[in-house]
Amino acid sequence: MILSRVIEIVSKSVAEYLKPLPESSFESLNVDSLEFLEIVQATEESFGVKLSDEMIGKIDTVKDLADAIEEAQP
Amino acid sequence: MAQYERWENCVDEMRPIWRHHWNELGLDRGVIKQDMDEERYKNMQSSGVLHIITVRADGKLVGYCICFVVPHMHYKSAGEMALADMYYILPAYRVGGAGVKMFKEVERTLRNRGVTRGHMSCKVHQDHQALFERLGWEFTDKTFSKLFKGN
Repeated sequence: MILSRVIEIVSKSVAEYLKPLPESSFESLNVDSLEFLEIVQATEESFGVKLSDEMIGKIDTVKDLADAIEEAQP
Repeated sequence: MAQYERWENCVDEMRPIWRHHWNELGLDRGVIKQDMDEERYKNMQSSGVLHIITVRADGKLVGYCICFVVPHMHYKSAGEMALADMYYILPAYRVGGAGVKMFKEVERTLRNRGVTRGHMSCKVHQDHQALFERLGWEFTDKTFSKLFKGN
């Protein structure tokens, strides 16, 4: 459930022809720093959680982001 | 991956990147040549002033952010302040949030060190204002420079 919502959020931020998969890295999606931050913040807002800087530092793939959200949930 | 490293641990790998950095962002390149004062950096590391966050991809150094951590002359009792010396990530590695992770690690490690305030800047011709503001940094200063020699 979390993963599908995260994929949906990521899809809105990347080029139309790119289809984000759980294992897609943000590098492969050609996301720059500002876009990456916007994705993280949109995801945080959507789930009502705040990720620590340490957690954000470990996010390489779409699934990593979903896992971080899951971990941050109360 | 972004992490704190000491000068002696990363200087050999930073050296080739400095040239790219200078070519992309250096001012007055025809007049003032790049000439890194490595001895002073080394001494600053020894005296605890230097704070370096490196960015590595598969172990290879691809970027850095160097700050000087010092007590501010105007606010002696306020604790240490961090002033950015320089930061750079090789163009091919500016994807996947590398810059965000670097600046977040800069902030996290400076906070852990007890630093009161950080100061970052960017070139007008490579404006990172939107990124810094999104990361919670305030736009507080404008700086001006003028070349007095060689023109």
